[in-house]
Amino acid sequence: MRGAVAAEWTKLWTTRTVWWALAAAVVLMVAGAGQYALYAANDDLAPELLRADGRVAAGTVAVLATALAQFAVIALAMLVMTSEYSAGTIRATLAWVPSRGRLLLAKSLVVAVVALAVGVVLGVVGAVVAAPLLGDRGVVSGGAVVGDALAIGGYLALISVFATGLGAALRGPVATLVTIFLLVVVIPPILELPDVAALNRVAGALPGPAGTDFMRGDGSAGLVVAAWAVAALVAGWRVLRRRDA
Amino acid sequence: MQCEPGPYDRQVAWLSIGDCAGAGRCIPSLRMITLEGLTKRFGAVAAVDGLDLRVEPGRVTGFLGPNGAGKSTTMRMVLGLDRPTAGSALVNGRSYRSFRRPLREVGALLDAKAAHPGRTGRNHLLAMARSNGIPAARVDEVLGMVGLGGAGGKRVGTYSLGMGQRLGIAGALLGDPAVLLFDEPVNGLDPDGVRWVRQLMRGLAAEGRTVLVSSHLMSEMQLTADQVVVIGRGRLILDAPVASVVDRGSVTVRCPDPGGLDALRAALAARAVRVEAVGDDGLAVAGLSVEEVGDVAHRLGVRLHELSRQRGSLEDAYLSLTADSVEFGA
Repeated sequence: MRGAVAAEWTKLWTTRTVWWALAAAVVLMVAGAGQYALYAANDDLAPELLRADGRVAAGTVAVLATALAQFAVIALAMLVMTSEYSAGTIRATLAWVPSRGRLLLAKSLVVAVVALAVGVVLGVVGAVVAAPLLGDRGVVSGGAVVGDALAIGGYLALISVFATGLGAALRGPVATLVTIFLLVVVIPPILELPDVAALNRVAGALPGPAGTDFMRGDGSAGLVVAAWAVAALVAGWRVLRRRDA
Repeated sequence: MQCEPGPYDRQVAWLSIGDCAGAGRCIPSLRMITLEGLTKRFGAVAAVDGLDLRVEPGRVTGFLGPNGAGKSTTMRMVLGLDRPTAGSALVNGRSYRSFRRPLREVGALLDAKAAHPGRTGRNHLLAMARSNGIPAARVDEVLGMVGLGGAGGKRVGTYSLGMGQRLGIAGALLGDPAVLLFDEPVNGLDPDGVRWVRQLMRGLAAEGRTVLVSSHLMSEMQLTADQVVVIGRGRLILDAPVASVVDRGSVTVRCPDPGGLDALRAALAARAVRVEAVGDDGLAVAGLSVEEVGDVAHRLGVRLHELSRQRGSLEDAYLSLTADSVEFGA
């Protein structure tokens, strides 16, 4: 297992993809946090996002901006698996690490660690960008920012493992990215449109909304995202085991 | 067959010697590729159909067959990439998927596209080494061995086809394995490269390793391989020493008298495997030696203008063997 992780770590950091993805994540976070901070400064945020005193925590702005920035991290995580198929390296990779389960776990571990670290950095960057724009309406406390940043990192780690497992199950980058986009962004608001309680509950259990709830402090929503990640890993593991490479 | 332990094989050498001395041959599992009833179906088509084969150490085994004969599918099953529909493919008596550090047991060159184009050759090998706990120093060693010492820092996407092959061969050698598989290793190599691959294969076999090489180039296989395995439509057609295949040459006789030619032909047909007319005045005789043909002519008192031995080539033997099993013939 140690060897498989070391190999995946080396592979991740030895193509340019990783740097493009990380740069894109930072750019999206800065742009998103700036925009949400301006909304907040104009008093355009939904009331449930405000603190009891009516002000906005800088970390909350970072959480909101994660809705956009997450896709750079998801794309990176998904490519860790699907680029094996698009670049034709999967046979070599499986010849190095023939245990499908070990390979998938190694990739998931590497992706989760990177996403966690990136998420924490993004959370801090978002808060730092938001603080001056929020002005009087904002609250910046070191402890709260660290808490929000850790929550963002935790969510990105889980959703990245989900993307890795889904990539193994679907094999292609396009199919994988479209599926994630549907589950995270497109389907939830469609389900919530009629405002039926049952449909709202289904929407809330999809990985995107559950992740948002988790980042806003709902620990059980984190378990929902984790369940999606585990389900994707199991699906990916079964495909890796059964289908010819 | 006798089994000489190779210098690389410190751990199992004592076992091989013991077994070889006792039974006159190695126990079947060591340093060997063993296929038993290996079958792979894609829908109704059997790409590999009940293949039984033992690829033995200490020699180069050439793996031949027309396009679509099942060579690559067989190699993929040996590496655990494709699941057999039936039967088994074992390396050193174990299935590939059961190895924790497979690169130390089996080295393989499957296709030149095995490395990500955006990664440098050196980093590709470095990741590969780390996956199997192989020291990083070995990476530069194998890069030097394949003549890529100066190109290790370049991205694989910039490599020529020949450089890609060399990188793949470096990967196969990385874990210093006792069993090696090469699928079309000379593709894209220049004449120097072809000769280098030939010497490398010969050298690896001389060290006691098991070397399985697939190729389309018969003349090259005739120079490289000790044993030749021919498959067609997924089935085994031939598994024999190259020397015995090539020595199935023929004897050419030419006789200026039509009557004498007919008499000679009748007499030879009774004894030879095959007698065919060559031009107006000649015969090609398979299955008899020059001496035997000369003696027959002498007994009949037939005048000869030529009596010569034609050495067979692996290519001729191959083409006659696979004539019935060419999948994509013209």
